[in-house]
Amino acid sequence: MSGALILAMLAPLSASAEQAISHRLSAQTFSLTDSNLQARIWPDQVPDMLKFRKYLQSTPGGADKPLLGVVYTTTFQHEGKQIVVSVISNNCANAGGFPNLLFCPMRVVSLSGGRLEVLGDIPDLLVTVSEADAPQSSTKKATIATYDPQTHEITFANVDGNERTKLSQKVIVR
Amino acid sequence: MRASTLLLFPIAAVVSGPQLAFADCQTVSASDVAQDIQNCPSANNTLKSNACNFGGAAIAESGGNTCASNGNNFGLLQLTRSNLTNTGYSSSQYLNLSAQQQVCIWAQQVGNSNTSGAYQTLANSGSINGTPVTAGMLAACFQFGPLICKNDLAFMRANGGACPTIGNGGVRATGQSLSNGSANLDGNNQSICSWGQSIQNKINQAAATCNASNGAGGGGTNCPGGGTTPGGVIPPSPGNAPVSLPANLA
Repeated sequence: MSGALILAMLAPLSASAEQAISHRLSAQTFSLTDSNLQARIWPDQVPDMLKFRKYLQSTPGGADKPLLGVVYTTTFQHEGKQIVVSVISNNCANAGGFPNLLFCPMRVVSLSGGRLEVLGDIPDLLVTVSEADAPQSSTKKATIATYDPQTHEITFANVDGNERTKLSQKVIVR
Repeated sequence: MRASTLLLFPIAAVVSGPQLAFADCQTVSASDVAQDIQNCPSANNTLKSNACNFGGAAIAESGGNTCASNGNNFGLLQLTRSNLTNTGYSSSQYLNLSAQQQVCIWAQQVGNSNTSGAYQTLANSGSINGTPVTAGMLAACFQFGPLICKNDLAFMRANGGACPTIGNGGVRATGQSLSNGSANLDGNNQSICSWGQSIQNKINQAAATCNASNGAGGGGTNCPGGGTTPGGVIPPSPGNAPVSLPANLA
């Protein structure tokens, strides 16, 4: 097999490997009482969330409320590291009263060998959220994170049916 | 019900229209809501020092009905569906909670985030290009959230104090206008001025029942009728409405 042919065969693979990858953020609950990945990403938020959850447990009818938090999250792979995008459902600001949109804190971290490094911290990303009992159940509405291995950028967009609106914020993956 | 909300129905329809079967619906006053805010461990100082104003906002939002809902926004202060995510309560469970519980969840979910940014800017401004900042306007700013409030402020500064409307360049909140940051009206084409006036009217109406003792630290001016004129009613003009600043800004 000639070198030219080998190059011709590899070229599409190479191009494919460089294509941007998009994932929708998925709802995930996490324990507020142990040291899991999401709790490590949000050490500044967890104490307040835990206090609130314990308050809820103390109110009539709230005793069965678990000590859990909610994040919207996805992961990418980058040069052997796991890149985690995490939007926390706490301290979110209203977005004109839209039922599925809030401005929430978002972090991107890299995880390698158990070491966690914060790559980006956006306090007010406009995200599509849903009730905990129906997390991101609708395929029509979602927040999409896209990792471009060529530019090393993670960008975001909200999708509502056929409408996709890109957000201005981005995070550079080092 | 509205401002905080993407209101698809007029408030009257929400309050009096068909509702799910809730055994424990309560109808409360602005004064009751103010007291609930004071009693709530999750309410920050900004909320507590403006408790009566948010009491007025609750009446404007829900008519004081704990079961008020348009299907997307719920309860006394019209917490949005997405705000419920972190509470573990479904919307129907939330509507069945007491007024005190609803207020505390509202305070915890949006109290810090919605009193940041533009809210603080507005609270620090006696007027915007000649348009007085009212307590109602502040409450509307809170309910809309930082983006719309910030954009309303920018519009007022650029247009001689006039608020945006759908007829003068206002941008209604949609998924797209929120995402690109251009929205300066809520989903019902309300600005902090127009919805602020609606809330202000409720604050004024509540003057007879909302007093300094349940508003903030006694003798404060945030409660209509409180302060130096106990039992008095503030004039209805927004320009004469009392505005209190958060303690750290006063």
